[in-house]
Amino acid sequence: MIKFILWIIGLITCSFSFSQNIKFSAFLNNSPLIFNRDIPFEDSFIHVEVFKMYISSIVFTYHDGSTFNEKNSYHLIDLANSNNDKLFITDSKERIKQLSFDIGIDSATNHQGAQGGDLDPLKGMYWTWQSGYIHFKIEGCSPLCRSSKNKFSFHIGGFQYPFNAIQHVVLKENSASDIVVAIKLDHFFKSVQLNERPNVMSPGSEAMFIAGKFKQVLEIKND
Amino acid sequence: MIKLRNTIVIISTVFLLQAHYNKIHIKFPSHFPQPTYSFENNPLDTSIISLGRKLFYDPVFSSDSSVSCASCHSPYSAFAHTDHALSHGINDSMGQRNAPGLFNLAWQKNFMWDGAIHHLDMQPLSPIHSSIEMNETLAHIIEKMSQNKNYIRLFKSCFHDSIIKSQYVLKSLAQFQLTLISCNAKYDLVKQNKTDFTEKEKRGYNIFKQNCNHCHQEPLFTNYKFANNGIGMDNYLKDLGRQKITNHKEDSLLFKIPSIRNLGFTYPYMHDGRFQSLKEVIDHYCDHIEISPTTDVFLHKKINLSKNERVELVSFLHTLNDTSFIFNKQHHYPK
Repeated sequence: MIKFILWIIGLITCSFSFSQNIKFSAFLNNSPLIFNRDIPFEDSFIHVEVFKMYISSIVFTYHDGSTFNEKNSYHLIDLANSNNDKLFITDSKERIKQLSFDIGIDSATNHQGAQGGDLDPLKGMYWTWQSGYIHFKIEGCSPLCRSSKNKFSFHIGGFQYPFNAIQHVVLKENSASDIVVAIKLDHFFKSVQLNERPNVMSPGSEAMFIAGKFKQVLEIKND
Repeated sequence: MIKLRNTIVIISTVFLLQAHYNKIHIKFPSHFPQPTYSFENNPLDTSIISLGRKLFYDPVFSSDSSVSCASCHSPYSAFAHTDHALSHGINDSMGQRNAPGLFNLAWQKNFMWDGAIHHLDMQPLSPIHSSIEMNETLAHIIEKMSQNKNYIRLFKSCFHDSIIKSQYVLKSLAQFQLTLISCNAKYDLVKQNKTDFTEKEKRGYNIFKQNCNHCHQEPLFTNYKFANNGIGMDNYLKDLGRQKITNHKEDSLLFKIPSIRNLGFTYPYMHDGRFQSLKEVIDHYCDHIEISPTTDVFLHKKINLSKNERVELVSFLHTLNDTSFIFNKQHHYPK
C-alpha cells in the first residue's frame, strides 16, 4: 500500500516538474576555451589555468510572467572541469523567458558562519587573510602581463559596502532546450587591460571595476 | 489502554530528552546586552563544546605540530599572550601584532586588530594559513585528524557524520570560544549589588566614565568600533591597521577598540604590545597623544589627570579583572 502511494506521489511529481540544464562555457579567440594551452590573443597569447565562479540566487521568469526562485541557490562552477560547469535545476514549468542570477555570494550568506557543500571554505574560494567568499577566480599567464612569470590572477570578491562586488545578471532566453551561458573572455581581457593590471586579489575599487566588466561578457549562446 | 498511552508518552519523552540533553544556552548576567552571535546556525551543545576545547589545545593545527591556538591564547592570561608584545608563530617566526585576550566573543562582530574577519566561525582560517603563525591548511589538518580514530569517533558523535568536514571543525572551535564568558569581575558583582567599590575605586570609576567610557563602553568595555588612539605608527612594523582592509585613507592607523576587561592578565598593551604597564597606557592618553588626520576626535582635547587620579583610575581598572574566569577549569587543557 505504502509503495503504491509513493508511486502515485512520484508520478504526480514527475508530471509537474521539469529540469533546466544551464551550461557555462568560456570562449577565447571565438572558440570554446581550452585550458592550459596558449590561445592567440592580440598578437600574443593567453594561457588560462583556473576559472571558477559562484552562481547564486537563480530566478527563472516564465512566458506567463510567473517566476521560480531556486532554494539554497549556491553553485560553484568550475569551467576547467566538464563535470562541474553545468547546473541541473528542477523547476515547475517548461519554457522560460528570462534567466537571472548573481555572480558571487551575497552579504547575508557571508554572515552565516561556517558552511558546507559548495560554500565549504576548503573549495579555494574563500579568503583566509580576511574573511569573505571570492566571487570568481581567473588565473593564468600571458606575455602581455608585466608581472613575475607573466602571470595574471584575478580573485574578485568583496561583500561589504562600498566594495560589494557581487553582480546581478539578467539574460533573455528564447530556446526551450538547454541553456548555454557563454562567457566571452576576449572582451573581458581587453576591458580589464591585462598588461596594466595583471593582479587583483582583494576587495576594493579595482575589484569592483573588474567585476563590472566581467558581468558584461556573459550572454546566452543561441546555436 | 491509558497505561499503554502513558508508557508511550514516557518512552518518547525519554528519547526526545536524550536527543536534546546536550543542547545548552549561553548564560550571562542581566547587566549584559543580548549576544550578537547567530546561535541558530550553530546551537551550543556540550559535546561540541568539549570537542572544540580539545581542538583549541591541539598543535595538529600547525604544520610542524608545535603551535596550538592556546600557544598564543593562554587561559591563564584571559587567553592573551602575557609578556609577549607580538605573537610568535612556528619556527620562531615573529608576528605583526599582539595576541588579544579571548572572552565575551558572542558579543563581538569583527575580529583581528583590523577587523579583517567578520565572523567568529571563520576566524581560525587566518592564523592557520598564515606562514608566520601556524603555516598549515585546514584541508591538511582535516586529513591529519581523519587518520586519528579518536577524532573520527568524536566528530561522528557530535555531527553524526563519519567524514570530518571543515564546517564541523570551525563550528566546534567557535562553540568552545563562545563559552569563554568573563562576567564575574568585581565590577560585575558591584553591578549586581553583591559588593561595593572602595572609595578609591569609586573615584576611579567616575574618572573612567568621564574620560574612557566613550570608546570602552560598559558593560563589555568596548563599543566594537575602530579608532586611532594617537599612539603613532611603529616605524618598523608600518602597520596601517583598518586601512589595509577597507582601502579607505580615513581608516589609516585605526585599530579595533579592545575590551579592557581582564587588563591585569593581558599585558603588554596596544595592537603592537608597546606598553608594559597600565601606568604607561594612562600616561599616553594624558600626555603623549599624537594628533594626525585620523586621530579620534575625542582625544584631540587633552585629558588632564593628576598623579592621584591616575592611580585611582588604575584601581578601578583592576576591578575588571575576573579571577574566576582565569581559574575556570572548564576552559583549561582537557585531561
